[in-house]
Amino acid sequence: MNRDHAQKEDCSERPTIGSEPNGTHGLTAGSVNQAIPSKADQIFGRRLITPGILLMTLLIAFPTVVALYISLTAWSPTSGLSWYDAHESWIWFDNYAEAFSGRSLSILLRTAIITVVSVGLEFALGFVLALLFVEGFPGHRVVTVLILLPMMVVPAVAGFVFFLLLESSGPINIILGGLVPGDVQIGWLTDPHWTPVSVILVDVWQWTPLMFLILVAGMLAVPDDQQNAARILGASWFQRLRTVTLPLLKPIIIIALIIRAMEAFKIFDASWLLTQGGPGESSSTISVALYREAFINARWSYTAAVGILVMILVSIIAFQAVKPIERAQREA
Amino acid sequence: MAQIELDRIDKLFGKVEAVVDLSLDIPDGSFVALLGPSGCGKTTTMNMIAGLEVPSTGEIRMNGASVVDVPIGKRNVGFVFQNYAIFTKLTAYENIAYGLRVRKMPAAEVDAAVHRVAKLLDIEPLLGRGVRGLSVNDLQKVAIGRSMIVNPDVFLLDEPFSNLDAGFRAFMRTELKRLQRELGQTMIYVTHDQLEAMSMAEHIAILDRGRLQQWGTPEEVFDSPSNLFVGGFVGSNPMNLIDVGLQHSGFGLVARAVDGGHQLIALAAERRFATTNDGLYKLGFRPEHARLVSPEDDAVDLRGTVSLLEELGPRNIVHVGVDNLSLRVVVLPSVRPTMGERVGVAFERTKFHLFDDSGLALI
Repeated sequence: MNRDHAQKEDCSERPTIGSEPNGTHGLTAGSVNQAIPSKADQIFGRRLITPGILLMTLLIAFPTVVALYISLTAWSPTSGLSWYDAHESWIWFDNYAEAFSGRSLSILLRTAIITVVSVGLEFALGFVLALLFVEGFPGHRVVTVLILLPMMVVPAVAGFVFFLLLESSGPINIILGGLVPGDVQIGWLTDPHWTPVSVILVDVWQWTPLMFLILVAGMLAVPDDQQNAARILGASWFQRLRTVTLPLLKPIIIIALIIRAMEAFKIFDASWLLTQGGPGESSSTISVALYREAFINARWSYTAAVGILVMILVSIIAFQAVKPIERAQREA
Repeated sequence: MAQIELDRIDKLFGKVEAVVDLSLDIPDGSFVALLGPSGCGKTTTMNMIAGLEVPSTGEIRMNGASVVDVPIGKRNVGFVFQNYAIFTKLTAYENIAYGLRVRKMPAAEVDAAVHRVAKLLDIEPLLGRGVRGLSVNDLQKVAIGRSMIVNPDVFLLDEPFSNLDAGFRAFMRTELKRLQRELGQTMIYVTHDQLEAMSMAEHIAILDRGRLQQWGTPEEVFDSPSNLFVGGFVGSNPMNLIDVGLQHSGFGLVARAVDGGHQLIALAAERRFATTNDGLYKLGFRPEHARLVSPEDDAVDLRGTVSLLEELGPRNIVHVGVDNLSLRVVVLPSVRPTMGERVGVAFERTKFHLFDDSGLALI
């Protein structure tokens, strides 16, 4: 009986507690935190963050500065000069001028196309899979594990497996041959028209799971109540998807697309392991072209210049892409 | 317009019994409260009427026709969620218009309807705004407007006022009652706040652990609780409950307080208690139905000392310690006994309750 009493008292008192102003507490706490630390504390604090700063400098700032330095020279490891003496072969912006030539631009364009198509397909597939998962079907847990498996495969292994699958007399052509009349002889690894498709295929196979995972997380976070409110008002499944789910998912979709696009833009494994970027340059991406210049042609200074340009480009795209999210945050 | 009938509803979640053998007949155009503590099955009941949940067994009928197979969205119910479930990415206008938009109503008609509803709720200036900037009070109105616009047969409200501040809550209580009268719609209202239920509803269904405890008007559940649970749950001040032994004597029925120092309470001389056996019972009376008297007064039922005085403005509550019992008595604000003062407590002879050991009310 006493419990019933206690419960009821709780209920009747709740509004008073809820409406109590608590802003004053926040203010006092804030002003205490803003007290200026003593000189000794400041020095001690700096000592604490020094190792971190040194590590970051070593890992990021140092290579970037060195790359920038080398990119302005004609230095290569085979030139007989140490990298710090690279200034003896100073050539200013010749490497950058070459990077803006037609050949580099065609590689950039190809990389962009591969990125857009791969990420687009990954998003479409991931979105449909995520919708199926969220709607729930018998055995969806087992299927989820299967869907996630490709992501856990080491990219190099994935590349090699697909190399075997895509051979002209390999399983994929044999299966296709069973589906359509006649003998299928697609040169997945040899025909310059098909090699970029093969690269996209591997990327989609491997990274659709990530898209799926991010989108499922986003969809599960959509409040049931809003869905139910829409259902009660008579909205169809598709109307709910369009008016409730998608607007709420927008920030997550943007983030997923950015993450994947930045990764896909640097795609290397699939292209290198399937075709080494070939035949010719038909499946070369920026990363493959850079690798070829650096480790096969030993043109390190040119590689450094292109690397820095790519970094700037990706940064600009990323900053632009994040803008809608920031706008959404300001509205909220 | 709808008359709603729940016919022996059971709802199981796995092995958990959310609702057990619930039958209710809700008349057309009435204002009904489902009252009970958290987890008593009131929200589940509401969800079943709306179609969000399907009863495990039993029938739900609207105007005599079974709706169990009618899909959600075709039942024409209005539902106001506890947290409003406002579409956060839409404006207030689009939120209210939603139900008509999905029915593909022409824009001009939608516009007229939205403005009519907004005017009724006094939120016209907010229509163009995104809902993120709105106060809870305004969100509440948008949520009600969104449900209202489709002219539902029945209005379901799930603890709609629990997030509002106290002042606006009182305002919305009268506002909702006015709306219900004007629209003449059947309204079912879920709450754990007995004051809210008592002040608004024409009928109250009190639920506990998935079972209907009592169905009646506010007066009925207040004055004649069917069992110990209802007696304890209804009323702003908890009912005073005393374990007593009952004895039939030459003077009629006499109760001996087990914890209250074995004081004797003469309950009644009438014969209507003749069927009650001797034995252990709980004697209950409401603080509102008791008064403080001098310990030497003839009317005194229990003697004790004042242990606490709650001054609530329009009334005071005196806690009287009787042995290890604590009784509450509602008194006028001018009555302010001092701590430790010896007083007598007397309760109205027509307004007390006896519960047997299973909690069932005997009178």
